[in-house]
Amino acid sequence: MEKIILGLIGVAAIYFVVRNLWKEAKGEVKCACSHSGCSNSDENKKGCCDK
Amino acid sequence: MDNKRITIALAGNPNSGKTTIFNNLTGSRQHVGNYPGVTVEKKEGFRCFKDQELLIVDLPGTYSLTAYSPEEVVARNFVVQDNPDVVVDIIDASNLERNLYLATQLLELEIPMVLALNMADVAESWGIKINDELLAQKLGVSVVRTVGSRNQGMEELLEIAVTKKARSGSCNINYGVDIEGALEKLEPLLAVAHQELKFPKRWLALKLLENDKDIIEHVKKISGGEATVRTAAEARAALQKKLGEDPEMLIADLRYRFIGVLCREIVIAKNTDAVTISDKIDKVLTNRALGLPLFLGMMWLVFNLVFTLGAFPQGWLEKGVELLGSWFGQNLAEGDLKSLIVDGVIGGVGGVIVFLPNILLLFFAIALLEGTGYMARAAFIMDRVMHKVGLHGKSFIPLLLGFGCSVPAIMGARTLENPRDRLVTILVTPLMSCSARLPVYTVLISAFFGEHIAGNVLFSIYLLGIVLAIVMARIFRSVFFTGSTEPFVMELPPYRIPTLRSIVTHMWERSVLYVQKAGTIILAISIIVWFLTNYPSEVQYSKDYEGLVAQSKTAFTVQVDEEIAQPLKITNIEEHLAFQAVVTKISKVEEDFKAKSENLQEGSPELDALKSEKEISLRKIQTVESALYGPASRYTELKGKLDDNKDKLDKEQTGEKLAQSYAGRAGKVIEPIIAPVGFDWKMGVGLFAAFAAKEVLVSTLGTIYSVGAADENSIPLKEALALDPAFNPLVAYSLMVFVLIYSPCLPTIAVIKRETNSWKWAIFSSVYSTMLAWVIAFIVYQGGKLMGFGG
Repeated sequence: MEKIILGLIGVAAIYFVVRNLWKEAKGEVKCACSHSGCSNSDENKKGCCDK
Repeated sequence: MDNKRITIALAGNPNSGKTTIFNNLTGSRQHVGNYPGVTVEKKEGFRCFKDQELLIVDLPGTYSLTAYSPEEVVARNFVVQDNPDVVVDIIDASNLERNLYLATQLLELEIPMVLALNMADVAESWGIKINDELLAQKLGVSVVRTVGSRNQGMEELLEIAVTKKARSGSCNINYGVDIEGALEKLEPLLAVAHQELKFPKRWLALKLLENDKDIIEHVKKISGGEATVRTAAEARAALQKKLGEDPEMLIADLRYRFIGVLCREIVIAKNTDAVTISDKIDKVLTNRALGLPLFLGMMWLVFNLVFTLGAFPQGWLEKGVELLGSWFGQNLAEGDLKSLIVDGVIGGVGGVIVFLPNILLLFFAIALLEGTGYMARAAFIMDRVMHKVGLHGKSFIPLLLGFGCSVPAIMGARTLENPRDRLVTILVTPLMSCSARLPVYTVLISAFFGEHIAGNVLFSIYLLGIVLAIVMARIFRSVFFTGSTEPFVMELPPYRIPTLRSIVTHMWERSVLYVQKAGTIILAISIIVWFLTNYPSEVQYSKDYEGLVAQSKTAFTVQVDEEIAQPLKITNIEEHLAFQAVVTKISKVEEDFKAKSENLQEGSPELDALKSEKEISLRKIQTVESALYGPASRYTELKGKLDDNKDKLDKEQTGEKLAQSYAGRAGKVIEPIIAPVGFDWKMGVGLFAAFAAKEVLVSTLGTIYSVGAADENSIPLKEALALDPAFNPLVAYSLMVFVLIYSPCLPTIAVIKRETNSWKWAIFSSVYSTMLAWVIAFIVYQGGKLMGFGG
């Protein structure tokens, strides 16, 4: 059982890191800080009118 | 207009307060700063006002609609091409004349417009009174007074924008007989362009006379456009010949004359020549002789505070992580899962999370730097130095922003008009020490350098980054990008006290980001590193460690039996209560002494005092237990030797297991390359993993040292590093230098690619910096060894 849990954690970690690095390499991951240049389409929809 | 979303564009000069107003209107928390060029990309936010959905667009600052730098192009293109329903021109009321230049150009575009006289409070405090009613009348547009920092005037602004009070104004600038004649000649030729491009004919004609490359390209594409452009070129040449000056300059000059006349009518200024507080501060801070030393002094202070003040909360967090590790260590069943949680997750992520206070302090300092207006002064002070390397002071702003994060810093280089300057700045910005590298420095400095020099060591690393950036800029400028230096034109904004909200927001966001990073990418990498350092589980050892431990135990038993048990006629010494009681007393004194004397230097008065205290305690035991003291003392000595030997063998065994793990084997492959700079395979694995994010070096070392720890008790990484013979202060410094210089992290490489539109420069940036890192670390390490700092 322990081996299965460890295996799942390991695969999930590798998947997450590879996916993240791939997205970063393609420039898809947006820096989360508010500095201009980061998060280039940070749309704040709070308070929008209900349609 | 009622049933669709209204698009409101916030335009204006740099540093006129657009983003502050944008944040007020939309509830966003976009970054603000008191220097020109904070916003380099347009930002969008939504707001509901009187049942109407508003799309509010914050544009980068621009001085005119004739765009030069990439971020100005973004602003101009949005206003000119995206046809917003209303443009709000945010005007710095304390700097009216210069700000009205853009307003006149927007008016010529004949788009619905509102003028927001922002920072009206500052203007009034300077004795500048503006007759806004007359201004509105003269320009034919609505004027609203706003104070962005206090959220004043926002409702009025929206009221006008939404209720169609925003209207196209007119400024009726008369450009003189010759230019007006040329405009009249060109306007009829621009009928088709007007239909297709939706710009007023007069504005198009003016742009053609101003030789606006972008508009020329657009007109050329329209049928008959080539001929119109040729006619415009002829008209330009004729004007130049007749008036003796470039028509672009003449048009700008005439606009300023119009503004000058307008300002004389609407502004009642008092004491405009009076020396402001900003002027007084600048006399000192931008002084030719004092400016640079004061800047360096401030930096020194910041990094000392980041280290010394940060050490307290860092210690608390360390304690918390240690307790968490011990709790899991004691409450989880033995096995790989427990090791993964304690060594992998807590050892890795916990090692990074403890530096959150230092990161926060650094961002507090950066927020002050940006908010007060000192950022522009730093650029001004460094202009002389930057000119020597072929750049100008403006390039120093992205470099300073690089102390926070290289990604926005590289994007900040958009404010540079010259593509050559921009590229050089982009290539050297990663040499500035970003906040992600701070945990690496902090852990190494606290492990190997005394408290009294810790701040100086940290400062030296940051300074090295600046010096290297300047040197590399010089090299790039003379090798790849030759050409003359552009003059430096940048406004120095008045000093302001940053709002508490902006500072707290900035710090809060950075802490969320840091914790997020620790809980995602760093966690995942720590798990992978744990697997790589823990497997394969079956290892062929060079020695029979279990046999050796058993052998030393037998030797101990025999020696105890011969030297102690037989002479005392004790059959089972382990269970002889009286004897073991004396042994416990002696051991306690020895352990107390060991614990207290751990950090004391040989020959120090404190150590001497502890030694005499120990002697007194032992003598007391000897007096009470005179018969058993001698044998018990010998027993304690032998037991100590046995334990030391067991520890040594355990460490050797775990070290061997670690070296034969997948990570160890991979590290051994790169070890020959990094050995000349003083690094072993563990540091190599850490440096490789840190390519994803620099903090990962700390989490990787945290995991490796936790897995490699022979005992169950988790100790802070800095203590584990200090105990590792592969490390010494020189190796630690060499490692810090390497981390400072080597390849930027992947997100930075991606942003370099995006900004330069070329993988070539992105890859070049990674390769050159890694090679440079090796060379400089080699000089530091080998030079240090030659000078006897090898340790």
